[in-house]
Amino acid sequence: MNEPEFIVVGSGASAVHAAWPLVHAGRRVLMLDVGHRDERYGAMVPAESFSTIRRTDVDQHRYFLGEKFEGVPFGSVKVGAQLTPPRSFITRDVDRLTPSTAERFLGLESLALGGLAAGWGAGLARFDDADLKRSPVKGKDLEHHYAAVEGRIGVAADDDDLSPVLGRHEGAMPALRLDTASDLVLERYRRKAEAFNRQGLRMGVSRLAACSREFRGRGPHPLTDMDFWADHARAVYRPRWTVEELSSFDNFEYARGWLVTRFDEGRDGVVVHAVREGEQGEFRGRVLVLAAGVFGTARIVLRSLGLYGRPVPFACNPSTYMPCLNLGMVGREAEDARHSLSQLSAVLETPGLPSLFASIYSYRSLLTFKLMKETPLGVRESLRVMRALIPLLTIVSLQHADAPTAAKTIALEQGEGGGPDVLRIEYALSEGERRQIRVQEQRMKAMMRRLGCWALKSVDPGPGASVHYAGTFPMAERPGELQTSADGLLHGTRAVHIADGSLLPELPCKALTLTLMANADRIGTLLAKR
Amino acid sequence: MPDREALRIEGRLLGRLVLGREPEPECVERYATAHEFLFQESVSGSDAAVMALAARRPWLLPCLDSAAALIRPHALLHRKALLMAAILEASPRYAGEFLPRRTGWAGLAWMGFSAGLMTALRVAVGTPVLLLAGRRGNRQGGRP
Repeated sequence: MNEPEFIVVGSGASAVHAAWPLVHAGRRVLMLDVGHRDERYGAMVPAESFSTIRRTDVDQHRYFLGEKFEGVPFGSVKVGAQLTPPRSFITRDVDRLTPSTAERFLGLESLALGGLAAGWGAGLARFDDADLKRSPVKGKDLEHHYAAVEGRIGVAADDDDLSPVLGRHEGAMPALRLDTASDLVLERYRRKAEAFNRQGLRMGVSRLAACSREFRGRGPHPLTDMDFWADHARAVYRPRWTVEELSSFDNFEYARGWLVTRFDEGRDGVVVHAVREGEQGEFRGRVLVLAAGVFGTARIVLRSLGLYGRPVPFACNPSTYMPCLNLGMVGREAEDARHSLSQLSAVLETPGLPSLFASIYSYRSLLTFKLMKETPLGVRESLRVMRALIPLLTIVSLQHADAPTAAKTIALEQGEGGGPDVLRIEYALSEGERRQIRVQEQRMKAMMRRLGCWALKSVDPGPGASVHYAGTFPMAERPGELQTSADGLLHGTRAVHIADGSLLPELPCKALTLTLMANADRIGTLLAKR
Repeated sequence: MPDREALRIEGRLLGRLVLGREPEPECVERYATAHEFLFQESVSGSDAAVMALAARRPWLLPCLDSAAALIRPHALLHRKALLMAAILEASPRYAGEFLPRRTGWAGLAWMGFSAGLMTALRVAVGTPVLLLAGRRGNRQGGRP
């Protein structure tokens, strides 16, 4: 390819959808990415159901536990500890190449092909004007781009009680089939839906970036319950599928192995500096589109502008989860044919407080010893107890809204002794924010009890665990230093655009990935027209 | 780090704790390999003493494990027992013994009662032994 017009940094959910309209408009696009991928485990996992594999595959220990037993985590929780061995490539090399430091924040970064979305839970929601109230981009600006992205990634969703809050997905495939446990919960909700609605609770089947029928050479979802371990039938959307589609265009080039470190602007465009295993590289283009994820983009911008030590604002959805016992499942057989993603979603509105978003899962396709580890019982008793309780176990994952404050910042520190620069993350919730979270959790717990699910406890995995980050270079009507305009242009630059979560001034409680993709598509479309 | 043969003996012991019978040699070998990856840190005096006691008096193992899970969940013995459970679970021969089981109300009540009773008995026996062995191990500075 001749000198590219556009250089897109990253290959995650935002990057690929920023690149799509550019490539389709005939513009020459170069995508720079480290691009780690799973070269060890993927081929080992049979295309069978979880329970069949468990009973038949003599090699299952290799991918369930990991060849170095990395799937058996003991000791302090490290970044990426929640990823299964086949997904561990998502955080490969992050500690070595892009280190960060934080006292209490568990930040997750990725240098993988597809970025963090390579292990995405695929939950979807559209943002409305209330969710975007501090942004110059409103719901109607994104409407067309939501539809465009949904037509690309494949959406399985039904029109139900959640549609007024999470949006309608015209032309979506039917929702994936619910499992037995979630079907019971939804049935209970539907029986008293009006009463629940009056109290602010809306529930429905999770909208997922997945195929319930054949779609662009993917799917249908085989319901093998292996979504934490493999991408069976490519039914769940991964940005990698879009990179593959883009790669069939002559005006698109995916350059793997390059970690972008900084950019320089000249009169004719941008020079991007990158490293690959000790080799230095320079790439020239007219416009730079940064979509390396909130942390990755912050590193590149702050380093390029020489702003070491300068804190930038930052937001991250606080999250907790509640293991619950779904008493309706006592004595019932749970069907094997299911998916492992979020089954149900709920939004709880409390007067005077931001909304709360809940994703409801059944604990089925992870190994039992992980639960045994959490009980105060010896292995013999905990095994008996867990075998009986797992069919009843429903996990409610709660996500709260967040906005930047002075206590939530990130800053880049110069690396010592020739080492890589280190991102310093500071994140603390105020007493008021913590109180709001407690109130919402108590209300959700009460709602779940009425739905037949009794919470055993509320677990706070610590700040950062939601892996939803935003707000570092927010879009503003009149952008100032380290802010961006509505087309993602970084203030003070001529041709450096940002197209990832860094742009969102705050985070509503809803799942954000669809909005990241739609906003990236909007920016790509604007740039393609120039 | 114990030698390979000592790890095999330990693996068989822990396998019996989890399954109630000796596991197949393949799982024991896998346990020894996993041990080399996961337990590289130096062992404290109390942990070493408890492990040595469990090896000498295997009938005490369920009591020591129950007590450890309750009062010292990061104890080496309990972590090793969980590792053996993970290895057995990820083997088709034993997976069925870890897969969820449909249980009715009566079954749940019985399970809750019997598991509670067994735990209480084991903790009652295991706690003083665990604490005494641990204290002695600490005094001896890691020499069981």
